[in-house]
Amino acid sequence: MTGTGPAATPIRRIRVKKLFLSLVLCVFAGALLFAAGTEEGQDQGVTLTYLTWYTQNEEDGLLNRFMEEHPDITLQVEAVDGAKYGEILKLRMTAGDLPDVITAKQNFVEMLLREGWLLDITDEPATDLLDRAPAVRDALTYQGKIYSVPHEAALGYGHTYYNKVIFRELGLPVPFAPASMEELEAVLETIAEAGVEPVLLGAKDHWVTGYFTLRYFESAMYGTLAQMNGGNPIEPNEAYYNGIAKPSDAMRAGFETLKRWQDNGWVSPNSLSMTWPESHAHFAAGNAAIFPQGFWVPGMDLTTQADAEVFELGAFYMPQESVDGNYYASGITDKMLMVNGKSGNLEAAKTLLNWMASEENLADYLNSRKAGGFILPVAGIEPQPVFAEWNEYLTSLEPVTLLTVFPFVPGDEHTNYGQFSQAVLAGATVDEALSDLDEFYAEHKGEIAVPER
Amino acid sequence: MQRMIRRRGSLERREFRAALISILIPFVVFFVFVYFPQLMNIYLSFTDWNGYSSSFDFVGLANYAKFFTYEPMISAIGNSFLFTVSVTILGLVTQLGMALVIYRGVRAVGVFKTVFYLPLLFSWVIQSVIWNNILRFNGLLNTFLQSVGLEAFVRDWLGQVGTSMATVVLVNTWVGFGYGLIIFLAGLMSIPREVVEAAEIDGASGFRGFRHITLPLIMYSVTIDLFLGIRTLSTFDLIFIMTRGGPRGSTRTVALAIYEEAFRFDRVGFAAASAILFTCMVGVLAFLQVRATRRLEVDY
Repeated sequence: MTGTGPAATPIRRIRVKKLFLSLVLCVFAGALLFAAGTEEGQDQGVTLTYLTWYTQNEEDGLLNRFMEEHPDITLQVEAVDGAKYGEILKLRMTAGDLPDVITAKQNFVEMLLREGWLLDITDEPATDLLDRAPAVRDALTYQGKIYSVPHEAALGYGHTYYNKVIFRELGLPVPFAPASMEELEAVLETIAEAGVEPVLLGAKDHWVTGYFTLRYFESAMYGTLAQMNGGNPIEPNEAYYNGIAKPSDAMRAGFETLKRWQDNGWVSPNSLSMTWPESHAHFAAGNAAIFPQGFWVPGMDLTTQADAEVFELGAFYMPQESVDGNYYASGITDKMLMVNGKSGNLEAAKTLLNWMASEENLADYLNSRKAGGFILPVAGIEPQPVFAEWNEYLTSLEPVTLLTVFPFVPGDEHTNYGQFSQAVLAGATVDEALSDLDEFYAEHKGEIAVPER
Repeated sequence: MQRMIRRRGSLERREFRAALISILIPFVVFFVFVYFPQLMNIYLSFTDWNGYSSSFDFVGLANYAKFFTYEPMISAIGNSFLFTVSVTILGLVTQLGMALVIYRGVRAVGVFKTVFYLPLLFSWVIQSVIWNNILRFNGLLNTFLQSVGLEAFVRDWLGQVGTSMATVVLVNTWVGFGYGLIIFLAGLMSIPREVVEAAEIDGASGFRGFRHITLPLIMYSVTIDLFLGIRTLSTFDLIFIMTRGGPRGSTRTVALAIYEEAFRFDRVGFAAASAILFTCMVGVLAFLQVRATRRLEVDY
């Protein structure tokens, strides 16, 4: 017995080793077979990655329909928080892992192009849309080539929403379309006196107040900049970059209005502690009378599914000031479509791009979004009824229109402005906030990148 | 005999190999995920890399010099120190006070430990969201104040310059309360009974007893608590969720400033240099604090 112990152990070890080795080989072979099977499956179709910041199912209908019509293409949608979209896009660029089809704001087009990521789509059918709007085609052309097409865009901002239920209860005019700031402020006073929150901003997010001070007083801003530029309209960041003006020159009207509204108690005390989605929910629950936010508001579930007893949406254009007899408005693409030029699925990516930008699909999509903007007439769509007064006022101004090509500004320009206009709500004077804004732009001036054309 | 020696030799070699692999694998993982990023951070701190571009330039010590002259960073350093000093002092006083109350007068120590430690089981993110909902203008606190007729105290706790820092300090102190309480209770319970009794016989009771007997004997708990307090210099999640660094930058700490420089303004080089310098500042501070409080510790 004593002799069997040491002799048996190595044999048992060898058996165990053989068993272990066989097991590993089996698992490996199985994995290979599985992988081969998967590859075979992949040969039958393509999986495309699509990056967007629309996180509330806004694009689901459109993208699902694409997959139904193209069973050979599966879409993997990466919908990321809009506030973090820029950061994620930059991280993906750094990692060399950009999705096949990308949506981005126009200032990122400049950044992506500079780093060599975008596919030249000049000859793709997607750009046919631009034949109807030569000015937009010009704005999107970089040294003779087009790299992006608009999917959502707006002409004229100042989308100011109001709750018709509250207006009716307070005996205020419905529909409401103020012709002057005095008329609007008289209504704000009536609302405040009735104990209702007059104007709600989701000001915890910087961009909201930035958007308000920059986009809702465009006529005064562009007019001032045009005066300083010898009568020629100019994009603000380009003016700052070239030393033609400082932000405080152009932004005073927006900052002063915000301060005046705050001092008079017309800005809801909830504004500073709410993010933009929270403020939208608060507005749609019938808690505030007026809500300045972008053209996407009518199509969001929060609006369409609100309780009709307490909420009915109306929209008017923020009253504008003329400068030297002219009114100004800008056209800006909010969401651009582009293809990753380094994608391994270029043909499928182009298929998706062309499908999304086709007249029929674009019209369906924009109708489902109930959005307003210049791309609507381009795609042959009438503005949504909610924008009737908004549109009528804008048209009546006969504005000088600027199709803005965003220079690349680090930090997102709405957020940059918002950092300082939010300070006005938190107690800063207009002069303090504008002085800080000037210092901020002086510090970051070297990082503004104006597109080369 | 020779066979046995050879077998032992091969066994040792096998054990050595196994030990080497056991050490090498975690070392490689640790190097790749901890040391390599740190080394890359040092490397990038001498560049003007924007975080996504394939090219960048070396700028020498410019990023390090900027840290001491860039006004937004200087004000963030001030905010960080104000936040940390307030949280640490307030935490020390309240945690030690509650530990003494529990130690002296309460039988069910375990229940109190559980009650105060429970919040720590939830992540700071969840706690921050909960407190944000309590403290926002239309949150639970203001609703309660209104309902009991204290409308005069209703305010935007997180949205006013005058109250935002104090509010995040209080929340941070509460969320971290359990840590300190457990540390102080452990210290108090480890004091030998005979020492306390002897001191009481000698007339050292009440505050005198606490100052001359209890405090020196739990000084190592104070060392640990202060050390953990210094850690709050790097607080990010709570402030980011509750105030985003606002209003008017009143709660913008260095961690937030570094994050913004790197990911909002694309100044990764400057953010890297700032992170290194701030880490050094925290390290020096922690070293001085440990050295100072260790001197006051008593062996028994």
